[in-house]
Formats: sequence, C-alpha cells, structure tokens
Amino acid sequence: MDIGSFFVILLSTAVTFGLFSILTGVDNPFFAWAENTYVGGAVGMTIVVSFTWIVSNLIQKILSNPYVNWPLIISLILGLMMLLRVHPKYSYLARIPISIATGVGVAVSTRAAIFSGLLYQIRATILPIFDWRKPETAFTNLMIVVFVVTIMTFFVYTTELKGPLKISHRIGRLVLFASFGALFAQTYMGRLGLFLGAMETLLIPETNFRISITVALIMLITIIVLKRYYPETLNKLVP
Amino acid sequence: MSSLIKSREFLLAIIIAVSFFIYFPYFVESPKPIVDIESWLVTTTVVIASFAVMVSLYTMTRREVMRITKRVKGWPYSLLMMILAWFMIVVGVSLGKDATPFRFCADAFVLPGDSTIYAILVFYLTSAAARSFKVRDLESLLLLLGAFFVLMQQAPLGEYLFPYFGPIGSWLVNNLAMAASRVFTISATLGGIVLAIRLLAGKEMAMIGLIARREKD
Amino acid sequence: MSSLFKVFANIDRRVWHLLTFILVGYTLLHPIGLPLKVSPEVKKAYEVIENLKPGDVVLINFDIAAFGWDEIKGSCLSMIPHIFSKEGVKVIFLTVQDQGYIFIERTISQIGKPMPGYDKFPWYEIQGKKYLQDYINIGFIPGFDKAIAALAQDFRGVVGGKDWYGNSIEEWLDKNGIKSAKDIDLIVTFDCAGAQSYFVSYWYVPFKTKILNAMIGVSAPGSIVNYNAGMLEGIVISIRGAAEYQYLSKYYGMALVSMDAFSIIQFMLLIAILIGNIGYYGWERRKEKR
Repeated sequence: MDIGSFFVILLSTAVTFGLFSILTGVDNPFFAWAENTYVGGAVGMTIVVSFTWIVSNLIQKILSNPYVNWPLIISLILGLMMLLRVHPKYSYLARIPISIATGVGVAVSTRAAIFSGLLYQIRATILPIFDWRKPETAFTNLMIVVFVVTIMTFFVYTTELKGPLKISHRIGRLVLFASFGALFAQTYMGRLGLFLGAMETLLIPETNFRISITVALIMLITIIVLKRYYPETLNKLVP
Repeated sequence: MSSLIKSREFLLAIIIAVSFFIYFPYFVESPKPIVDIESWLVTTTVVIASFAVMVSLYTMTRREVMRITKRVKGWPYSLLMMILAWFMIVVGVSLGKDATPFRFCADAFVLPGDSTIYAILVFYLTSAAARSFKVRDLESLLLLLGAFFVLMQQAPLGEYLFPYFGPIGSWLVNNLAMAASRVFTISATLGGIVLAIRLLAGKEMAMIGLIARREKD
Repeated sequence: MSSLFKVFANIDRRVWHLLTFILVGYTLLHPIGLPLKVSPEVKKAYEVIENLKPGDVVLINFDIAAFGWDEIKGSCLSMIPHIFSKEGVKVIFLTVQDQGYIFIERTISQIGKPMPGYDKFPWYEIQGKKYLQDYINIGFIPGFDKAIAALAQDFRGVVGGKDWYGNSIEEWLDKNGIKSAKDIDLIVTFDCAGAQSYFVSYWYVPFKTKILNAMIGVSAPGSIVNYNAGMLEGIVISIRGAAEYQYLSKYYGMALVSMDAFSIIQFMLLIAILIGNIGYYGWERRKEKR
C-alpha cells in the first residue's frame, strides 16, 4: 500500500470514528474536529464542482461561438447578478434571478407532478374490487381502496367529523399508525444498510481493520480519561 | 429604475412570464422559438443555482472569520474549516477536480463524513424505538405490529424461522404502507399545485425575498 | 424482580450502541450464510435486464452521493455488470448529483479494467465492452429535476458534443441512433435523492420509457407507490434488494454477506423494544400508579 492510500484510510477512519464518538454521549474534541473538517471539505467540493460546470458548460460554450450561444451570455449575467445578494446597496438586483429560478423551479416540478403525482396515483387507486374469479386480488384491491380513502379522510380538518366521516377518520387513524410502523421499519432498513456499508469499509481488508481498531480505541480511551480526570480541559477543547 | 426593479409587480410579472414559457410548451404543441425559450430558462435556472452556491461560500466565510477574529469558543475549529474549504477551492479551481490533492481531501474527509452522518441515525433509531415503541393503546399496538412484521420480512433470519413473515410483511409494505405513501404523494402534489397558483397570484412573494406583506393579503 | 424491571426501564442507550457495533463487526467478519428469499420486484428488475436485446440503449443515472453509496453500491456492482453482459447493448452513464461522477468511476474501476494501452479514466473496458465503442460517460449535469426534464426535452442539446473527459461523442451518438429521449430503451436509476419520480414524470409519462429503480431505504415508499402504479418496471430496495439481485445475477458481493448482520441487528432492535416494554409495564407503569 502506498503512503497516499495509507493516509487516506487513516484520515477517513479518523473522521468516521470522530463522528461516531458523539454516541458516547460526551461532547468531545474528536467530534468537533470531524464535524468541522467534513463541513469545510463538503463546501469546498460543492463550490469546485459548480465552478467547473460553469466554466466548461457556460463560459467555454460562449467563447467557442458567441454569435450562436448569445442567450448563454444573458444566463451568465443573471448568474452574476445573483452574487449581488451580498452587496448592501445593490442586493435588490438579486431578486430578478431569484424570481426566474423560483418561477421555473415551481413550474417544472408542478407541471409533470400533476400527472405522476395526482392523476396516475388516482388512476392506480381505481381498482376492480368485484372480480370474484380472483378473490385474493379483489380483496387486496378492496383493502387498498379502503386504506387510501380512510387515510385521506383522516386529513380532513375543515368539517365536523360525524357519522360515516367519523368512522372513516378513526379507521384511517389506525391504518396510518400501522403504516407508520411499516415505514419506520423500511427507514431502519435503509439506515442499517448504510451503517453496514460503512462498517464493511472500516473492517475489510485487514489493514483497514487494524487501523479502525487502533483509532477507535485511542479515541474511546482519550474521551473516557478526559471526562473522568480532566473535565475542565475537555470543556476547553470543545466549541 | 431601481424602484421599478424593487417593486412587487415587476417581480411578479417575471414569475408569470417564465411560468408561461414553462407550462405552455408542456401542454400544447408549440413553435420552436417557445421551446427554445423554455430550454434556455431551464439552463439559466441551473446557472443561477450554481452561482447561488458561491453566495453561501461568502456568507459562511464571513461568519467564520468573525468567529475567528473575536476568538469565540471553538474558533480553532472554524479556522480548520476555513483552511480546508479554501484549500480545496484553490486547488480544485486551479488544478481541476481530478487533481491529486483535491481527490485526497474528498476521499479522506468529505466522502466518509457524508456516509457516517446518515449511518449514525441507525443508533438513534434503535434507542428511540426501545424508548417509544411502548404498547399503551390500540394505536401504539398497531404501530408495533406494523414495524414487527416488516422487520421480520426484511431480515432473512425472520423468514427462515417463520416463512409466513415474508408474505405478511410484503403485503403490509405493498398495500398498507403503499396506500399511506400514495396519500402523502397526492397531498404533496396538491400542496405543490396550490403553491404554484399562489405564487402566480402574488401571494407567496416571501419566496423571493419580499417578506413585508400588505394587510389586505 | 422489580429491580430487574427497573434496570430494563432505565437501560442506558449506549449499551445498545455498543452492542450494535460488536454484533455488526462480528457477523461481518464471520458470516453465517442464512438463506435468502428473492422478492417479485427484484425478480422483475432482473428479467427486464435479462431481456435486453442487441442495439438497446440503456441510460444509467447515478443519483448517488456519499451518504447513500454504502447502501446502494451492492445494486450498482451487480446490476451494471449484468447490463454489460448483454450482447450489443449500449450504455450511457450520467449523474445528477455533484458527487456522482466519483461513484461512476469507482463502480467502473471495480467491475472493469483499463483498456490495453491505457491506464486511466475513462479508458476502461467492462466485460469486453470498451469505452467510446460500447459505452460513454456524460458525467454530472447540474439542476437535478431540471436536468432530467431538460434531457427528456432536448437530449442531444443538453448532453452536448463532449463527454465528461472532453472526448467527442457526437459520432458515437449518431452511430447508435441516439437523437432524442425516445431512442433510450431503458433507464436504470440508482437513487439517493428520489430522481426516479422525475424520470417517471418526464420520461415515462410522455415516452413510456421503461425505468428500473434501485434506491436507498428512505426513498423506498415513493418508489413502491410508482411501482404499484405501473410506472416503474422493477425496483431494488436498499441493501436487501441488492443482496437479492446479487444472488440472482451471481455477481456476489458484500451486500449478500451483510445479510447476516442485517438480520442480527433487526432482531436486536426487536429485543430492545421487548425489553423496553417489559420495563415499561414492570416498572414505569407501576411507578405512575404509585
């Protein structure tokens, strides 16, 4: 293994366990270091990627053929106006690109969502519930229709709940609780999968395993010693 | 001129105009100039978003420099954050995103931090579940049963011990949880449509920074 | 007995944290090898890829950032080799996440090898398929939902004439008959931030393009809704779906190995809930009554 790879593994393990150190319940300098390092790196990376895109897809296109790509000059000017947001006197000029971005963003997300998020979903809920040739499918379809309708009535706030609406509201509430349990389990599966992947990176191969154990033990022992014997020092070292 | 640009009506006119050029070609067969304007608007929005990221860099730098100069508690960490951020920016902009120092910082600091931040949640989910999944009434029992069957269906060991966990868990996910998610999707879409209409009607100008509202709104 | 209930009711959460670390570490290093059942959704996703024909064009979207990579890499490292194993299929890689290009390169370096005479990106071959002959990498297109919408409207205009590394791709696109979004036969989107909903809106709704979606667990409910509505051909959910796909496609990897740890921790969660309930009924509830 070359020295560069070794330092990448060492530092990435230190950042990982530094962030995990918050699980000890003690605010500690390793967590503060890891957190600030990560935030600084993330900001740097985002800026570089955005800047690279601006140069390669905007400025280079404009310079290669300004007569054909003249609309991009207006895009560039609007983008530069965005930077005026921080100027005390001319910050109002930034409202123009913000208005354009807001209008476009809302319109782009809404125009297709009308179909995929509303009409197609309603269409998918209109299911055959009286097909007795396939009783299992008919029962499942009936349950889906009942679940969707009752959950929707749970979110009705503008009218008094009485009669069938009250019963539907109650059933919807119970169905919602059961579905929250199922959704929690799916969320847990997702986060657990992430954690397993992170642990796999830390433990396999053997070099990573040794580095991980060493770094984890050093951090844990340091936190315990600081907490127990040098609490003032610990307090000074955390933000 | 500046009073025109600052006026609510001017900004609302911009929003209505760009919205027209986005909605119209999507629903109606349009001539090429209108489709070109739509493409240009989408590209321009991406450009504006890229520049907006630079604004966040300025505000972050200003805030952290103030913390460092005033020697606020924890200022060395702010200094570390600034050094790393600006080092990556200088290296990335001058040498490119594939330069070794840039990739080193990304692989050593950013990528492991990103994955760990979300992986930590599994611990909080576990301890929160142990504390809050207490069966007090019918609702909490259903919450627990929903979670139980889906957890058992997800874990291969669960299906191995009792094969019916699989079909029950799948049924809960594909029907019960799916129905709830469908309602959330429909509700969110309706909310989005209402927001779009309110924006076009000039009722949501706070989104573009006009936070002072007239009483008759 | 009441002291036991009191202990159960007041277990320090750090006990669960430590147990999680120990159990995961042990079972990852010493897997048991429990059997795995394949779900119908993953089987369908497998069949869609298995039925790809020569000449089909597949668009692979990496909506992947570091926070989801560990969960979704199992899907990438099994589905993508499976796609590349199909004869005559052409592949376009792209990403709508700013970190995505890193994971495209990581995936390619793990499943491929440098072409003869080359030693760096993009000149890698995957299962005999060479760069700029059988596949290209467009890289990062910013704008997320707006990028997906723009690609559907003006595919060649947004893609441009160059790939992520500055090589000309006009000839490759012309040779493979890729003029617009309608020429894409299959989209495989690996999601950390729900890009599938925009592919459904802008690609499935107008063009009825087939879409396969592998996603992190948090995005699963949205994908299941669209799958049940018939807008997605198949879904591979999180690490469990990845393990099933690895099992089906025989491109075995760590997702399959992780299933034992996965099971153990889920059981640990249930035991934690059970202990919490015992403590609640044995101690807290009686304390409330007292």
